[in-house]
Amino acid sequence: MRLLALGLATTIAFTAPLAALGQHRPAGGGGGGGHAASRPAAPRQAAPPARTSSGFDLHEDIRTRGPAVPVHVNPRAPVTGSRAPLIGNLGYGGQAGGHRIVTNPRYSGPAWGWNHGRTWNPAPRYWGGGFWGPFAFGAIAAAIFGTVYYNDETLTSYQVEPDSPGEQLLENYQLQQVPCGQPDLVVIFGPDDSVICAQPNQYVSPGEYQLDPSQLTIVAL
Amino acid sequence: MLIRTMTALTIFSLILSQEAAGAHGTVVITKRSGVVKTYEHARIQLLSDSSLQIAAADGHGTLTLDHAACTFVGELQRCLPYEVMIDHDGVKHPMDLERGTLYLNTSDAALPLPHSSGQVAPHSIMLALRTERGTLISVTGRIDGEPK
Repeated sequence: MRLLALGLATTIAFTAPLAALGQHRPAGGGGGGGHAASRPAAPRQAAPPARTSSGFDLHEDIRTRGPAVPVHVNPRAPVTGSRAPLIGNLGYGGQAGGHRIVTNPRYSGPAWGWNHGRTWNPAPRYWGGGFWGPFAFGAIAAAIFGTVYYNDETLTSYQVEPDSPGEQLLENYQLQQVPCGQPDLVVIFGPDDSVICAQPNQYVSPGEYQLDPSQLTIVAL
Repeated sequence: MLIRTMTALTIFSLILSQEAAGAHGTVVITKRSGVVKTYEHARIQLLSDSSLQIAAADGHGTLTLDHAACTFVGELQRCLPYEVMIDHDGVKHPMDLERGTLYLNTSDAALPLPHSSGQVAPHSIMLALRTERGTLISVTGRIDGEPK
């Protein structure tokens, strides 16, 4: 028994200082600090301090209710987002279920080749799944670029963010985004009920199109 | 026998502590109330299933990002996470995430952040999350483990 106590004491004596070094430093200015190690030391502590939470202090941020991922149900027919099957790897210049594929003038690689070969899936908490930019629902700071009225529903369009996959799509087709709502525009429906509009050009004529993100291609509706 | 066990335990504890001290991540949690907590020596790991784990140095908490929409800005990977789990002592809980962005540099060179003069160091991450309760979580640091 004495040996056990001795062993435990040795273990604690050896490891406690190192573990404390490996812990947290007090936060500057904001108060708080990490855990017990960052609390101000009491000059005399009669009783051992109450154990604070270990690990990251995120207990109150744990989900307490049902699925937090919003589901946007839209009766509109076009396939968008992850809830409906996206038009798959269909090749180029061909037909997708009777719809005309508009060949991407710049990109003709394998599926997802534009994304270093990695599959891109829409992020449900973001407008357009994040394809047009990192716009989180409820916190969209992007400029509104008009609206599209489609199947008794008004869809708001936002300005495409630089360095987004959407910008790459527009660049590839040499399209210039313009606010939706005018006649004779290129209207592209993207993931998660998103829509953007552009001026037609030599590659894309006015009309409605749907995005195929796997090939970074648009398909006439 | 008991002495040998205790010696082994001591050595094991020493190794664990030193490993924690060698980890390179810094996690800063800012509550809506303004309270800031900083956690040094968090262990950042990319797993073979493409998830990202950030483990507290005390071994009692792990953040896991396993669902995100990722694209590339040049060589820099930008992800929009939408499912984050917090593991407290072996029990996993989903978090009420509002939004977040992860920049991941798995290359051997520092890469510029888009629209910023800042850079992400080689084999490092930069992560910012906001929960629905308004807690901000930021993580920076070198990746301690990457799949081969």
